[in-house]
Amino acid sequence: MLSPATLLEALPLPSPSSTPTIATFGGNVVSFSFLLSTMVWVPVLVALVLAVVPNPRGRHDRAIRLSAFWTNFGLLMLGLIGYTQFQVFSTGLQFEEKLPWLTSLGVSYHLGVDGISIAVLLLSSLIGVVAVIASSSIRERTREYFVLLLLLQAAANGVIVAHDYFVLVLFWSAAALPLALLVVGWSGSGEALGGAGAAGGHRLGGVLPGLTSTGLRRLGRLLAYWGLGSAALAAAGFVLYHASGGGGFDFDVLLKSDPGPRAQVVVGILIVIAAGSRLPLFPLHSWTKEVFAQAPVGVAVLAAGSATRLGGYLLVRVLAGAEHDGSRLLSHFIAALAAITIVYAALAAWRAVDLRRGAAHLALIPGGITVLGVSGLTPLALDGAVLSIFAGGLAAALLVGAAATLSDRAESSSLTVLAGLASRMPKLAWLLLAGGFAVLGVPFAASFPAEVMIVLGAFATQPWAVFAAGAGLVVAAGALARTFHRTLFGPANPEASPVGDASLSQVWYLGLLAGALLWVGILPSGPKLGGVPFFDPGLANVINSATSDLAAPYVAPAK
Amino acid sequence: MSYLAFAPEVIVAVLALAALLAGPAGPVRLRPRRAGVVPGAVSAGIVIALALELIFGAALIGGAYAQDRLALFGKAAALLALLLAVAVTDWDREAVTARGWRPLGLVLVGGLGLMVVASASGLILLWAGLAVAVLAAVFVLALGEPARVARRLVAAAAGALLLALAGILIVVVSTGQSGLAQITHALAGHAPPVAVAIGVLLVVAGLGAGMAVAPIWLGGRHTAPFAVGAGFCLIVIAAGLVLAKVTGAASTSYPGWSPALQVAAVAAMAAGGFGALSVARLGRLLGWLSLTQVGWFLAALSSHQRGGVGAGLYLLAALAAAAAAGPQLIAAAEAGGLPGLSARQPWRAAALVCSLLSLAGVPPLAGFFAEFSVGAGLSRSGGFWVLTVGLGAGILGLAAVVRAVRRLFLDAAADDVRRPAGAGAATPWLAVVGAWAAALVVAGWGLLANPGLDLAVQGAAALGLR
Repeated sequence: MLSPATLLEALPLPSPSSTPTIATFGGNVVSFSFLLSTMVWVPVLVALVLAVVPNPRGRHDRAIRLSAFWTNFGLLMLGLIGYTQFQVFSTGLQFEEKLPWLTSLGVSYHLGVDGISIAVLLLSSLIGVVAVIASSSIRERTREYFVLLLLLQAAANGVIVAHDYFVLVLFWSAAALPLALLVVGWSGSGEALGGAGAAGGHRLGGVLPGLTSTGLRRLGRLLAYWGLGSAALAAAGFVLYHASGGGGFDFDVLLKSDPGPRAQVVVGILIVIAAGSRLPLFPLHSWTKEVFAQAPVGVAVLAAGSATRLGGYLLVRVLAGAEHDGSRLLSHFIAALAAITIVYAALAAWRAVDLRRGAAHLALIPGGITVLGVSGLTPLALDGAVLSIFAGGLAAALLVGAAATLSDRAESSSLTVLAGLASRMPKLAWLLLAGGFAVLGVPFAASFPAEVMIVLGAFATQPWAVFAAGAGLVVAAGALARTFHRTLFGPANPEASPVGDASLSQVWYLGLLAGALLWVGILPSGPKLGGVPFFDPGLANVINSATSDLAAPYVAPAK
Repeated sequence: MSYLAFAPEVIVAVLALAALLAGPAGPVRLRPRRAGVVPGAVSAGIVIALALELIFGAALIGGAYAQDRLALFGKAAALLALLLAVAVTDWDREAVTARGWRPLGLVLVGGLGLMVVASASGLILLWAGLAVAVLAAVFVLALGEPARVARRLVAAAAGALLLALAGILIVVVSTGQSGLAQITHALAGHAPPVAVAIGVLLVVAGLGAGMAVAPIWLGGRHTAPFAVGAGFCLIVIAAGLVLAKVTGAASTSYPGWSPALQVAAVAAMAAGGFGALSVARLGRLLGWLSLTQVGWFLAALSSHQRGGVGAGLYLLAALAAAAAAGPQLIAAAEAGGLPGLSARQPWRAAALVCSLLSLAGVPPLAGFFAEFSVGAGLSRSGGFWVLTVGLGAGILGLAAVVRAVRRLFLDAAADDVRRPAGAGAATPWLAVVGAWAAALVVAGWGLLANPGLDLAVQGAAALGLR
């Protein structure tokens, strides 16, 4: 009779090999080498089909909602399969696809993932499902909403798997349009699209009724920052292209050239602007009010959870991963930006009189933590930075989503109205608490190991920034305690309208986020049975397979 | 067999003649119920011409009227733009009964001039083709305008053409050559004489001004949108090809016109971006966004490199494809009310939005691919300040166009508002197919980028650029 230990030994577990095999989807059983293209283009195809299918008087709204859900669920399954089949002992690109595209420019359709991108792709897939569930209350222009949501999801996936700068810019820029339309199209009713008073004031108000000057200002602010980020990203690519002698835009060519310190600093500044406009970092953050605090729950969750995390991913991939001199020269500047962002977010949350606004400010903190890790430029800090992209995305999405859901159910987000809700909304109260704690990085949340690694790793190189960020986190904890005390545990407001707890779908989507945070927080290296990884290779292991190479140039040679 | 490369010219000439002769004013009178056949037949003829061009156009034929890669690219781009302009038009709305098919015939004559420009290897033939294309465009525009406006139009076009002619004559006289290859050879290795410089600058000034004014005209209110869209394409493609040929031939060894072209490019891009942001009417938006694209094209010419100029030619074709159908789509959309257009006429809304987004450089449409290619060319030649302005103009264009997209797709039509007369009229099948085709071409440009951009770069190489 075989013992369990013998059975485990017989399992085809990953093992170190001098000639690592590159993973293909299906473990070479099913030949399916277009996993990444599937994850990028299937949402686009479904969006196109949904856009053209007749839907008289919204008769098929439910089917459209279900199509969006099953598409994202399928993507999550594909992401999980890709994640579990990822070869953690291989440092190269996996699931790679490469086709020539604009040959005269040296552009190829080149996709691939390493340990960093597969982790972010998993985050994006999970957030995609959560965003669709969170959007179940959308009743107005359902078809258009889910088409745009799917396009936004596809653009985020495209950025993550791109291994060619042109492809990266294409998907990065493509995300701006659907998000802008989602924000101006579904952001509440009165204030978001401007009140009647605004209509006559702006020249466009009269000609384009419905898009009044308040709506225009918001649209303009979002597009200004995201457009600036896209332009900066493209400009960085052109500088690198010029410096590399016009060899091409493939990462293997463009990011492996050595353009010299001056060009690297220029590229670094442009990349910081691009990343800072998305994460966002102070002072490129003011669009978050519209998206995190006023957009529909699903949009806010998708933006906070995955679309904005791409800024951190860009910093890791392009700046820390390729421009080593530029990273070193700019590290103090980047650390200062991270610290200022965290302190600003905490102070702004302290002053907030609106629950969603407060949550929107606190959702800036995970981005600041990630950037602090990038500025550390040590193996431990970079490891933590990548883990914090994942954990920070979940934490920000949970906090923003729980705050939005609670506000929706209570029919107000004002802290003067919301009071003593824990007894009436126990589930939502606990989920909101979990989101707040996760943003702070308490033990058992995935953000805890990330923050510990960042603090320990960055303290040697950026002590003042770490100290300032720590002070910011203390203020943020105070702000959270104040808000939670008033909203959840204080005396109930007798004049507030009666409210009920979260619905099943709301518990589901918020619970998924909280569960993922706990899973990675408790088991960052995955579960082990008899000392052997069991079905989950461990997010920390997967990330570490890539960050060891990433951090190698920053490790001082032993004397 | 290789001379089949010139078959498209013959087909377009025959179509032009037939269209000019048909109708109430001509000797061939069609019955009203047969009138819808004409645009269908013309579209089919252009499709055949385009297919022949793509099949047989790869042949290399020398001489004054040459067939090289630039000719192949230019002729294909012209035919594609003409096809989209004809096919997308709702001919029931165009006032064909009063003017017969003369607008269509004149546009086809202009198309023939464009093909001459694409194939001409000498300055005189180049100017002749340019004059035919521009004058045909201006006459077809003038047909639908009051006499005073028509006179101004003709005068402006004549002024630009004469300026270009003066420049061309100066170049011919001062070099003693009229062939582009001979001029390149004569000027090789040293800076051009002052006279040649003045001549080229006159050409740049005349045609650059024409290209800058055309988008502003595109954005005006017009009674015959077909003439506006097709006329714009004729003027912009013809002027663009002539500019590329003249600056390419005269500056392969001395890129002395770069600063002038860069200043013009920056002015056009900045004006286009701010203009787009400041207007509300879709027609005006189309015009300003097109001006931005003209700026990108001039910036591409300033790179004086094969890759940059090739990208510029690629952008010119993308601009023509996006702008050719724009005025007709806008006119038809505005007639039925913009809000809720996507629900009533999804093909028209899709084509219109694709055109506008492409002109704003939004990925993954034609304009984005073209602008990125030009950007790469500019970065290779070190034109970063032009690139910076272009990227800034792109942000402005994006902000401007998102408002329009929201209006078309997210604003529901108010049921209690009475629809304008004719809003519910059935759309001819050709216009529906044309709108879908326009949307597909603009949206699929990226997939076609590999052969398209490579062909354009080969076209730039045919100019002698390195």
